Amino acid sequence: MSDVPSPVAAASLPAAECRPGWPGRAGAAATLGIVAILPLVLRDSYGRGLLIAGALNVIQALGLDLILGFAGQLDLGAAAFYGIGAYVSTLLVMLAGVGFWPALALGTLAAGVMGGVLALLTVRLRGHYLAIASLGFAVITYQVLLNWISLTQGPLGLYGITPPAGFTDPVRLFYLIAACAVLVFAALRALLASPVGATLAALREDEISAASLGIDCRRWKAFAFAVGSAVAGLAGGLYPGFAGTLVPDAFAPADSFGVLAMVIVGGIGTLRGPVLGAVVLTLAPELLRGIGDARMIVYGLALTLVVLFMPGGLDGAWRMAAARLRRNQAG
Amino acid sequence: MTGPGAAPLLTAEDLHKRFGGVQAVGGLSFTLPPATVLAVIGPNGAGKSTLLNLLSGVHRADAGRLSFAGTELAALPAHRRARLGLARTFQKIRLFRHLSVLENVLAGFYTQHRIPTWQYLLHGPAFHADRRRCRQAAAELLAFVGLLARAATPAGALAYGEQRLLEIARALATQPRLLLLDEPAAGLNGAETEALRVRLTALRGRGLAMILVEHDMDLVTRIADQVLVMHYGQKLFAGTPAAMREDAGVIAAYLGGELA
Amino acid sequence: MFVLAVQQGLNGLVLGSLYVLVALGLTLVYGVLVQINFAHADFVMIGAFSAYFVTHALHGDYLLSLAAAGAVGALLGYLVNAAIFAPLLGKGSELRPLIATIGVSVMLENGALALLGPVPYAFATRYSAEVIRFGPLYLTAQSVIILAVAATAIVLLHGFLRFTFLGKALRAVAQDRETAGLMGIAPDRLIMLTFIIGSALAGLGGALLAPVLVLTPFAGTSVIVKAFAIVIIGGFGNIEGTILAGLLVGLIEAMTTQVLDPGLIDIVVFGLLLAMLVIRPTGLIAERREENV
Repeated sequence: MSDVPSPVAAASLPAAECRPGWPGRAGAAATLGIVAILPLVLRDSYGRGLLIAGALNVIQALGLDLILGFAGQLDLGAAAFYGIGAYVSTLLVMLAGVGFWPALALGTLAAGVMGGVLALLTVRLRGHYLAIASLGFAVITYQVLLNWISLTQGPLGLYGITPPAGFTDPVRLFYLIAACAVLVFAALRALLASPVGATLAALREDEISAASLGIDCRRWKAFAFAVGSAVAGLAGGLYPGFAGTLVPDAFAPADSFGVLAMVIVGGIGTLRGPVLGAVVLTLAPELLRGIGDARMIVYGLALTLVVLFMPGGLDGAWRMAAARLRRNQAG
Repeated sequence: MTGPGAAPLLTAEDLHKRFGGVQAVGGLSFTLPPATVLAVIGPNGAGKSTLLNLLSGVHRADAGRLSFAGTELAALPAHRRARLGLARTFQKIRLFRHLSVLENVLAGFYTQHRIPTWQYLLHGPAFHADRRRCRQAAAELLAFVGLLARAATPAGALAYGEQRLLEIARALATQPRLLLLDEPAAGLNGAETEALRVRLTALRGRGLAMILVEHDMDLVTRIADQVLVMHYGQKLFAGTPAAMREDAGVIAAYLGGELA
Repeated sequence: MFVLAVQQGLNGLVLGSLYVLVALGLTLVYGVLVQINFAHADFVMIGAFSAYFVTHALHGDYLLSLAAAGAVGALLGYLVNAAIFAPLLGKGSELRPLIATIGVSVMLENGALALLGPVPYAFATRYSAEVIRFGPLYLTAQSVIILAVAATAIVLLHGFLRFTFLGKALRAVAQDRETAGLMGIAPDRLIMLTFIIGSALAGLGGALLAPVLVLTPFAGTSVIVKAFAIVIIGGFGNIEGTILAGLLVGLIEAMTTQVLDPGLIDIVVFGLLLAMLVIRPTGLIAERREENV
């Protein structure tokens, strides 16, 4: 193109959304502050368990949103990668005597590799085929966990799993998992603000166009699946120490839909959305405990209603309300 | 213009492509010298779009050879061809509709980022320099097609003519050596076609080689150095626009009514 | 040994024709709409429970309960299309209807759980105990009913699609939505019709499966997961392919059930599915379409 620089031109572009302005920073600081205080407010073990479950859900929802929201790939197998991370890391500790941290890293890696391989195998498939194939992968993974009894103890499960040394206290364990969630959030945020974000958006919007720009859609689908699944695997590796036991039913194929609901209800294709969705959907059933077993009905209803009437989820509704407020103040 | 002795930029030999029972392209050969604008014309269904799809790698040819700047293309997927310097627009506009005008063009810089891998996670000086460079280049491209003021607009919200121009800007972002344009003037009004012609003339002036599938004969005769007339997937005529108008076969099969 | 193999083949045919009924509904809808109704699974479950309540609570005949289950399925299909697919039609998203129906599925399953509890219901018809012998081979009367109803449904569906004006229009929509508009039929009505037919098949399939299912609110899931596999192995939207694949999966399951745990059969079926997707993404009966862009 023209070699003549035109400084006027670049100056008239909309600002690059690279660094947050002061409201964003204040919001982030406030969020971190609340996270730090929460376990000191919720002092009973039930409340702290809820916090840990919420933090694990945040990590899972972020991983799925990378695949589903940012790369546009219909992944219905999130539970499988959560399970792979959990079983690989735990079995490495229990059977091979590997330390917790390297085992956690290897479990994360295993989930990522499996995610990448699944994506490469199904790379030619259109959206719905991928959805079914990933669901099928979750079914296979679940059945393997149930039936490979010599390794996993099958439905009886593995018992007596302890958190990593130094994190046996639930408050410290919560801080550890919350720190992982914050790290995952920050890493994804940086990654998506880089050209990788534009590349995944192109892949999501139109593969033929993307290829015409030099983008290798195969490679980037595998990338998104590998990274998103590794994130799920990380959550999986952190889970058994909290639960103390490991049974295949914690990774049933239908559990993927719970994570899916968090991403959709919070706001697909944003980073704030899955965090919001995971927190709300972890806490909401507890607030509605009066309705007992009906909580999953509320889950399903929320999922359907949000898709039909609030496609941007909570985050989208929040943005719209903020925009309206600004307009009203200006006018 | 480069002399006839220069090595061709693109050579197609005996290309074949069949869809089901239809022979879309049947034994087509042609060469494109560097810095040349080749217009491909012919009635609907003559195989023009198929030809562009074979060149850009959307489809693989059933048979035939295709070489671009000395590289054999036939076995390469679309994204590898784009990296070699083949860019294209689409007959049915294929912008990233939900992304902004600017984001569409920035996606076109995919092959040109120079960022150390770790800086994708921890943005350092090289990352920011790359961002500045790409945004500057994108702004120039948007200024070139007259869409700078619309940079923040979602591409799907642009007027039709603007979308055509944005597709060209996005293709140019890949720094192509050959630009394939599939009916860029289709659906445009007079003013929009003129805006398009001005841009294409400017690109031609910079020595960018182009292959232009187009029905607008006025645009073709004003832009093209060479014309390839296709008929039922085969070459009916190849030569200059002036020679085409004299060619009895072309007049009989296609042009007669239009140029009379 | 040979007799055993034939007997298992016969059992596989019965099982397979049940899968075909359920999978046909999915594939019909996919053909016209290019969308997946995830709640199809729960139409199967609700069809099974409808049959249970008609026979056990209302003391109706099992054959009558089949009709009731089909009607309940049709009604559910009508509701889901009207509430979800029709409003989202033309919004250009393959994700939103799928996820919305996952929500419906979660609602229906847990709603049924709240009403009916997790304990499996025992459903025996008077036909289950009646054995009909053919030399060394035998079938229960229930199996004969399954085969007869499934075959009738398939033949009727085939005749409808091939020989009636509506059926032809439906196939036209499946090929190309614009052409169908030219035939003077509103595509949205055809889509509704397809939904009702497909969902009635799911309800009917559920009622036929009821006596062999572990009848709980989650019974649909185990069936639908195989139905998905069948639809893909047969080629999404391809009716002949779906029938073939359904029978094939039924046969594989019947043949391996002697040696494998049911959980492992899922692994076999899905392994087949994944292999299929990798080797032949267009399904058993290839229908390769390439279009210019």
